[in-house]
Amino acid sequence: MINVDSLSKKFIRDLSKDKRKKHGATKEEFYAVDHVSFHANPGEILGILGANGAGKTTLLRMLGQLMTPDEGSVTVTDSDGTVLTTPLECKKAIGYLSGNTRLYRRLTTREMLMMFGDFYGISKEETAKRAEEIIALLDMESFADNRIERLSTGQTQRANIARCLVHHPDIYIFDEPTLGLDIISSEAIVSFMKKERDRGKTVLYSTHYMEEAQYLCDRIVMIHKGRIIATGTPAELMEASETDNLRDTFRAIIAKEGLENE
Amino acid sequence: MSRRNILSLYKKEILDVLRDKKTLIVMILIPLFLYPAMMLAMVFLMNYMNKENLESTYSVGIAAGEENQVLEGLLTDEEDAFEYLFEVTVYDKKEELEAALSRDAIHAYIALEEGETVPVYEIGYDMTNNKSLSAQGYISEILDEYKEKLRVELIQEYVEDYEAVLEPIDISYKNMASQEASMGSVVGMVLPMILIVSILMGAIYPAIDVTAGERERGTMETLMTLPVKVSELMTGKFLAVSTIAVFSALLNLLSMTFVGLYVYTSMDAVSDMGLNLVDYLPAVGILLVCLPVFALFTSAVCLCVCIFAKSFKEANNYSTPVLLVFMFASMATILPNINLDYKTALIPIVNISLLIKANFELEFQWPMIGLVILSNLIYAAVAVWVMSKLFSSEAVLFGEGFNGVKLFENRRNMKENQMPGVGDTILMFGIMLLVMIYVSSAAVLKLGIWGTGICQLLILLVPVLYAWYMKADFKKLFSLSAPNVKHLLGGVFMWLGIFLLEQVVLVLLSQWFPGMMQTSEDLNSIITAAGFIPAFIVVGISPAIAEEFAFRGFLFGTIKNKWKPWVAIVISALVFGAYHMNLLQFIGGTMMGIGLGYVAYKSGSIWVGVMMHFINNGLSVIFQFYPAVAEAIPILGEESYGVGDLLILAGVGLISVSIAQFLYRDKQQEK
Repeated sequence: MINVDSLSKKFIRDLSKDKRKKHGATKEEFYAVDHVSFHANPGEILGILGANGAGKTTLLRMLGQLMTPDEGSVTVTDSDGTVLTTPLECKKAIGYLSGNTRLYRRLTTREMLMMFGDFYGISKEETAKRAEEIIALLDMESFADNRIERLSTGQTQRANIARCLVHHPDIYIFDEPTLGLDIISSEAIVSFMKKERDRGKTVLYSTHYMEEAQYLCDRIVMIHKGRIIATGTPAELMEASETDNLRDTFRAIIAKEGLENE
Repeated sequence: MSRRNILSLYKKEILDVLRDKKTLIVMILIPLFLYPAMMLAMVFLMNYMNKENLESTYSVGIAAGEENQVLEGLLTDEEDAFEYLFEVTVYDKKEELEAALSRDAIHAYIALEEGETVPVYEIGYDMTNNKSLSAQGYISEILDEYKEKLRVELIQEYVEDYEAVLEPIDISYKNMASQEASMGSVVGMVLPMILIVSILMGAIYPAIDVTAGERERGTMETLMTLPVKVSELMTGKFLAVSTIAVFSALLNLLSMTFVGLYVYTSMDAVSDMGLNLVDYLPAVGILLVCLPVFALFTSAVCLCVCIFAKSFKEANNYSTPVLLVFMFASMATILPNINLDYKTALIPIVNISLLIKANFELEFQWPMIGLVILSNLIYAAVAVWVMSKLFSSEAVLFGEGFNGVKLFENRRNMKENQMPGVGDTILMFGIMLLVMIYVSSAAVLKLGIWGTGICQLLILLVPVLYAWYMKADFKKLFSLSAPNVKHLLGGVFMWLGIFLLEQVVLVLLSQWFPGMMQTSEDLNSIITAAGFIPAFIVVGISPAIAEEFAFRGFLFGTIKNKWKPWVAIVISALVFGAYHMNLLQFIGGTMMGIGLGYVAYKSGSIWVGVMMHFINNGLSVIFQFYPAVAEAIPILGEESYGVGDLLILAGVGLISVSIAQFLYRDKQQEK
């Protein structure tokens, strides 16, 4: 389980010329993630929805312990109910995937799985066994021993997911995992997330594909410009804004809040 | 740090680098093929050119005329004596000779001119043409012999014992350096640069690959999702780069040895010297140890530079100045009067370069070799440590190395009352060093003792201005709160204790390393010449303020803000020691620096350190001007110390430090 309390991250951006005089500076700080609070439970897929630049990646990086928050906190609890205190412990419980977590192109998928098992402190024999399981699970037998630089986009993404599974994480954080993939590859990933949810894992998943989120997510957190603008099940969100799909829901909420042109 | 994690990271880096063909090529192909090939090409070329010059036929033009026939005779008579031949063409006029040379019909000409007293033989040649140049050389040799022959004939007419007139004395030379050492000194001028630059080449590509390369390939973020610490990450990368650099260092050494052997056996001029090559074995053996150590240092430097880069391209840009610095420093061997001593053994790069040279001159100074190895190891360790502390995981991940340095930000964007970071401190001392190099040497030359005063002013101004620019919290950074009486009293005891212990350590060290005690006479003479009052102000008072603000202020304050107080005390003491640029004062400065740092931490006031520093430097000025004062002090005033004296000094020193500690501990408990 992940509990997020008032989480914030500030970045610096350049000011426009006319604003520079007013502020007496050429740059200003702004909240890329602005006091965000929510929780993700075991056995559910929580969707983080937002447009490009909404702060999804920054938010997930903080959850994955890759970035330190400026304010607020992330509490990670493993499946036994133990609250994990250090970033290293948290990383051991999390399988993290994003568009920025590329793979070592000069290794084969199997070599990479062995290497990652080593980092997580799993014995060689156990990792080898685990690698076989994962390769079978994600249907990668045909390319598991090819160097990753020779794989297709879809195969690479499956290899990337395989990497997240080595250490039996309780929590998955997937940042836009289906971005740029064809229907078959993205369906494989979607069905994988469903399977893991049904096994009681916590799945956090960000996307800007509203349709995909609508049928996949148990609950949704919509964020815009770093702030949460809505939370609830897809059905609740659509009902509240009197729309029949999430795409319209998103538009309606932004319009209602007057955030569109901010 | 977990050893297991470091090992896993190390294995990963090595595997990743070894799978990269580019790096492999640079690493193995260059030392194994390119260098020997280049050397061999040079040997062949030189042999060829020699042969070409020796076995050629040169066509020489001379002007027609009776008196010129003797020339033709000179050139052709003794043909058998030379391996080269002259082909003589006779022209009518001098203009024709010049024209023939211009159109390359002849290689040179000889024209007989009327001089003021004696006839002049003009040799015409073309400097841009190699063969013409050789012809000129050979002709002038022949003419010299001819001149000599004429001279002997002339003198013989008047003097019977003409040989004694021509050579009233004879000079003979005897080079006391062995053949091997003489040859070694030539080798020692060139070899260091080749080895140093090739080791740098071996280190820089893997260093770029594991830092900027990893970031550019997008695997850095993947790596950061793993449960590893930044320090483990850095250590793993350092070890991997070092392994490759050491490997390439050994390859280089190997290939150089074989090329050397080949040149020795194939170049006649060298093999005729009859060198005993076994004499060089110890030198090669020492290099076998020193080069890998130097490779560690080089890897650390390369990583430190590349870690700032966001991309391969950027890393390449950064590596150019590194290459220049390494090349320039490695050329120290060419400068006269720079030898391996206690000072140069501490200068990175220069030390290894001088060590290689000394080795091939067959001078093996074991303490120096030890010092070079030790200093390289320490620099490498410090660089790796700083690197892993300097970068939070975010900076490593997103390559924002320079964003942590406040000076690169517009002052308008500074937040009020912030504290500098480690990057700021490094940059501040870098600026200080630059300012000192440019201003201080000129100032000291022009203004004598007052120049030293200007240096001290700069040492004060640079940190203060830096702190002003970044709108730092002055009170916190420079520990500006006022001390109380107990603090000051504790400071006096601390100074006395450390001062006495310092004397003991220095006496002991001077017994083990006698060469170390040679202090700089220049400074002392400048001080004496200046007179007491200026010396007291410049040497006694100004460093007390300036150096305290730089070391116990800026440096100590920054580190204490980040890490535990003892880390701040130790680092500021080591940097303070190193600032004195002299091994003897390094030890003394570090010891006193620990006392000053401790006092600064416990009292929270810089002024206690200023007072201690003032007592220390003020007394040394007084001692120099009034030696009687020093001599009046029991034990310390004596010429040399016995074992009993040392024990007393150490005892009093320890007691004094304990009293200081007691005074400060008391205050802590009250709180």
